[in-house]
Amino acid sequence: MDASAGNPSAVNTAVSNLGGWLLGAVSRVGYGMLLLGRALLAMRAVFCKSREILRQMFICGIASLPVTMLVALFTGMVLALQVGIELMRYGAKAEIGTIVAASMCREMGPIWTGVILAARVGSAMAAELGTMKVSEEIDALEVMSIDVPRFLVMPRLVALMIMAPVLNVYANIVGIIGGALVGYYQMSVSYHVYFNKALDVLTLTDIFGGLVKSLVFGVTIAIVGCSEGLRATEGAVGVGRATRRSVVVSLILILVFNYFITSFIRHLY
Amino acid sequence: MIELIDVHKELGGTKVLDGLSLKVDRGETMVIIGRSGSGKSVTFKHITGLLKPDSGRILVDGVDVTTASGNEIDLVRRRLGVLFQSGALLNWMTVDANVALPLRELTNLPEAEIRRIVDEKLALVELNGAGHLMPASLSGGMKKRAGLARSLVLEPEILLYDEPTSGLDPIMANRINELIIDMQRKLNVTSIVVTHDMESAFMIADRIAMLFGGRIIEVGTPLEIQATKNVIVRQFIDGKTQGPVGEEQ
Ligand SMILES: Nc1ncnc2c1ncn2[C@@H]1O[C@H](COP(=O)(O)OP(=O)(O)OP(=O)(O)O)[C@@H](O)[C@H]1O
Ligand SMILES: [Mg+2]
Repeated sequence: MDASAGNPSAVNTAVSNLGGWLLGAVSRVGYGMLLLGRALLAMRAVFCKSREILRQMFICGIASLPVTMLVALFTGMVLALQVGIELMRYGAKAEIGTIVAASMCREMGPIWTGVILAARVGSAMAAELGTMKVSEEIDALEVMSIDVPRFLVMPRLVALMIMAPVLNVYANIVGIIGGALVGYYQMSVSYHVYFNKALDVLTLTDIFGGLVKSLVFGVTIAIVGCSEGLRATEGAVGVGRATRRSVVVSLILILVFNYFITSFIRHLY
Repeated sequence: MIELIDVHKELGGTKVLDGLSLKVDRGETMVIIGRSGSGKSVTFKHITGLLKPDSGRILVDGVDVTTASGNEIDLVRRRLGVLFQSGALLNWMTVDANVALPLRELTNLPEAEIRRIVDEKLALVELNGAGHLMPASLSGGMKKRAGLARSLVLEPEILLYDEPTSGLDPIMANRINELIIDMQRKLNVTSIVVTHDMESAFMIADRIAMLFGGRIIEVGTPLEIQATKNVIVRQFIDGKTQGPVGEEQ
């Protein structure tokens, strides 16, 4: 920054800003990967920490259940409504079940679960760990030679690795039911036809692929939330910044990873 | 023995430590005094390896914590009892759980034994009965005492206390002073204590070091410090607002 202050041309500033941003991004990714590695290693102690893991599972999973259900319900309903109108024109309204089930399990379920967890849980992790960081609690843990990745990150990571797929399954089911309701009441597609179509279209790859997605999203949210929190500086403002950043970064990563996992799964067909 | 050799550290564009050197002998109680913002807490963070100096060496019993590997630092840290200025309790755990934390995480002691040690240390700082409270519902002084209890559970050989008596009433402050003196007499612990409280400094210190301008400008026994000719130290211990320290700012 001092260099560009000595030579205040706009290009120079832009280049040095970009350079700074890139450096920040690289160090962020590096920190996150390292944290992930250390938390994975710490999973050897998963049984010693089972109480804390259960607590985290409750915080992130059970408490997110109502929101996830509600969002999934309306997603399934709006999907059925949109495609139902089109399908009726071709006299193929029986296929509503096919389309709702496939889009819920392949894309909507995992993504919405990820979005909700990033907003509710990832941000809370960043805020909690960030507060601990700026109030010297993390320092205190380090000085007591308590391993922070093992003590704080691993339980959160494991909890999300379990709860993200679980929530995803619930979201899929509720979404499909939402579609069935709209199909039945608005388009008079019988439940029998709807669910038969829905079950027909779902392959093991769909179900497994959706679970892999939500697992990856869970890991992403936990690691982004924790590492943003642990890197927080400068008091309450820094905690706010870490929280905001954890949500934005998680959301972007979820959509990017989602695309690549989908394209990978397509190759399996 | 703890030795800081020519430590330099720049933080946020200002030189906080500027050639700081200090040697603390085994079994000695060294009190560091200095104005608010002079870098006392930063010095502590260097000794515990939380901050790395820009240059200089920091030896704790011969181990250079500036270059030591993670494992070596952990071995050093196991022998430290550290009190942070804010107490640094984990705010989602009760006082009991906070004090028990090092025992639960770092030892395999049975729960009954942990319970006994926790009660004993809480009693030392007169917090028995407050064990079930969350840190958020403690007063500042209670937090500090809980932090103190936590720093003692692993029977440390070296105590690093950042303002142990600030925010405490005079009776409690004296109890903590006596505790520090006791630990030295009975267990021969080495202590480095940061304080603004000159009364407590003169009471507990074997030697007093004054931090000013990023370095130690004077070290001496309480008697030597009281009789000092150094105008800056003189002004600090007398608490005068007129003098070289005020003019320098
Ligand atoms: N992480 C940091 N980033 C930037 N500057 C810092 C940082 N930590 C400390 N400083 C600066 O270093 C100086 C010394 O801070 P320090 O906390 O060591 O003071 P202190 O002597 O402990 O004061 P007090 O008696 O009030 O606790 C201050 O000017 C502070 O602004
Ligand atoms: Mg301080």
